[in-house]
Amino acid sequence: MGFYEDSKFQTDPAYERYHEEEFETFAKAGTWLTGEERTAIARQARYARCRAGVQEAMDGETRKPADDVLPRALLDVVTQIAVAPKDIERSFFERTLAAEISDAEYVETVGVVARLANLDVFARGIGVAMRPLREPVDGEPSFERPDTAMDEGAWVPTLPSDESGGAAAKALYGGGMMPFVYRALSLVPAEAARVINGGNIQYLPLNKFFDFSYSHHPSLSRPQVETVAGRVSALNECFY
Amino acid sequence: MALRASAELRGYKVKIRAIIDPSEGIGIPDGDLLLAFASTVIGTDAEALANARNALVKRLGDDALVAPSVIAGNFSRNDRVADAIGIPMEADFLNKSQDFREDFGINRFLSARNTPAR
Repeated sequence: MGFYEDSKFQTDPAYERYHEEEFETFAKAGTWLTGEERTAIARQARYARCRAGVQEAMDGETRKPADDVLPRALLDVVTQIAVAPKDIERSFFERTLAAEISDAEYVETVGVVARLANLDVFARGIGVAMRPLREPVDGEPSFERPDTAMDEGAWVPTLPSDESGGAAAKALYGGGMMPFVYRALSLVPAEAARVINGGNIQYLPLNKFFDFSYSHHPSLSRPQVETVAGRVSALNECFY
Repeated sequence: MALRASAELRGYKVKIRAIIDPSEGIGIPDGDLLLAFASTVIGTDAEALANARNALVKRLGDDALVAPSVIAGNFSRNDRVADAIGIPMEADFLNKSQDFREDFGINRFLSARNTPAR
């Protein structure tokens, strides 16, 4: 049975596999957060998006997480990223660190919220209900921090894609140069890997970016793809 | 940058400003429908989204709905990552968008502060 079996529209099996895997990653322990915490983050993100009216509510999927799973500061981070990423300033990030959320926990949280927004916007687009979140899976985070992550101009250290990124960068990027948006979460390589993978499947393979005659989507030309991308980013007031 | 480059390759006279103000018309085939869909799929008006979805399917067929949905999702994720991590824009992309960023108000986005060299 397909992941979007209830859709009137035929979805690419590659999207279905990727999206199903994404939901599985939310339920499992990550690098700094447990499966219970990651699931609570996803639940709070959905709750906030439904309350803001940018996602249709759905029984069982829009309840708040239990009060004792996430600290208040992290709940605020989730809500802000889920609903109004355009209003995030460096001072907001610094206040989060002052509330004893580590930079790596912040990065992992950004990854979960952003990746869930991807899936929920897609579902909304094709007119189906949000896919249910999985129940959390027991397990311990890996607590692995790449020691070659450094200040590249973002608010958090990132792994450079040149030689200075070392073995961790090579493992994550495969030896190629990466745009900053794909390096952004690399303090938590598992989150960055999911974003890179998603971009390759859903937008286009990175090595095709500068081939402007190429479209990864048989039903849309590249300018049509970029029209949708550009409008979404404009509404999100994303300078990048 | 990718919009302009890919449009020019096909000989379209693209109006980038329509990304900010869709009423202008973008100069891309079916761009009006795609802009309406992109505007509503991340917005609060469910009825407008349903109308945009129906219009897209009616003109372009069922297959044409899935691709814009996956692109809207992908960039909803990327925008959140970029804004929440405070990444600056690469110099090359910055240079290639210099001519319209100021005019269109893009330099006034809060996230523009993350790119000091703009």
